[in-house]
Amino acid sequence: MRAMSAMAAIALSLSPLPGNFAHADTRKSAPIVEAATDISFGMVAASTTGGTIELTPSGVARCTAGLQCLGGERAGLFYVTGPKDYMVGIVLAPARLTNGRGNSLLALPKASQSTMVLDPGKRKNQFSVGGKLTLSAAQPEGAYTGSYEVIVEYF
Amino acid sequence: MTNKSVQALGLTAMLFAGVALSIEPAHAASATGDATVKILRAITVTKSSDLDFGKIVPSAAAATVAIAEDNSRVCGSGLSCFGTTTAGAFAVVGTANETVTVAIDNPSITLTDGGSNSMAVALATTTSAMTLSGTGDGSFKVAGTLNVGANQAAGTYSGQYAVSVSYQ
Repeated sequence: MRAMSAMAAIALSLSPLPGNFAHADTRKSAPIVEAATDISFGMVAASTTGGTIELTPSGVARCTAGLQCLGGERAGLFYVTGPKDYMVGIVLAPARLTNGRGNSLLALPKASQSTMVLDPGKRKNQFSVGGKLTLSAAQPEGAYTGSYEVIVEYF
Repeated sequence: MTNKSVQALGLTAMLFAGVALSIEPAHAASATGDATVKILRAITVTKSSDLDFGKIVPSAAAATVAIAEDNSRVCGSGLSCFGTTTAGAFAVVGTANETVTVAIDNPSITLTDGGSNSMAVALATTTSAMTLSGTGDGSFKVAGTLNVGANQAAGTYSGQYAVSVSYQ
């Protein structure tokens, strides 16, 4: 109980509108997040053993032994716009990529940072997203696509 | 009585927690990003024919026998050549319409008769790259030049070579 009261007090001191008890966010300029660039893991030659492809948030792909990373990769890019000095948390949900022929791949996106303190101005705060892709043994060929959700949390 | 007071206490705690949360509701903004990858089929290369120099009768002078990619043979002066000859041939399977590169891993090999006698072979292919068909198929051939020594010892000579095919 004591710990919880302390937490509430800290939260209150950070709150721009401490008197507001409503659940809805009534502030005029709540942070928003926009997708700018899609992630591409590029072109990868499959192997009979499977493996993983890791794309760093800076846009470099690495294939595990057996797989062949053939280039064309790029990291995803997002912009956060919101009030100055807001601290936001970045949360990414996993995605399933499919090739339209019943085959799928699991992608675990990874952001360049998990928190961010906002600078004022539109599209001033950017973060990039890489991820990890797991290929099964003899993964069927094809162009796989899928979507993942990016959530920016703030108080 | 005791039970009741415990329940009441529980309710108070819950209410308090509810209030504590409502003071600072966590908000979230979300966006959707897309991810793509193009997976190419693992390449397989299968030998469809061995490079065969046929039968050769050596002479007192060294000479060469060349097999071209069209299976034709050029028999060096002084040698007698007969029998069927074939160029090396390989079948490639991969992703349709993709370009692959072809390389001979060891273009200079030695054939031996299983004993101490040997002959050198130089291998070559005119296919350094190719585009696989709409069904993902491709093929290439390997030509060779055999160096037959003066009075080369009789026998059946053989050796191995390897090729590599990879996406560009």
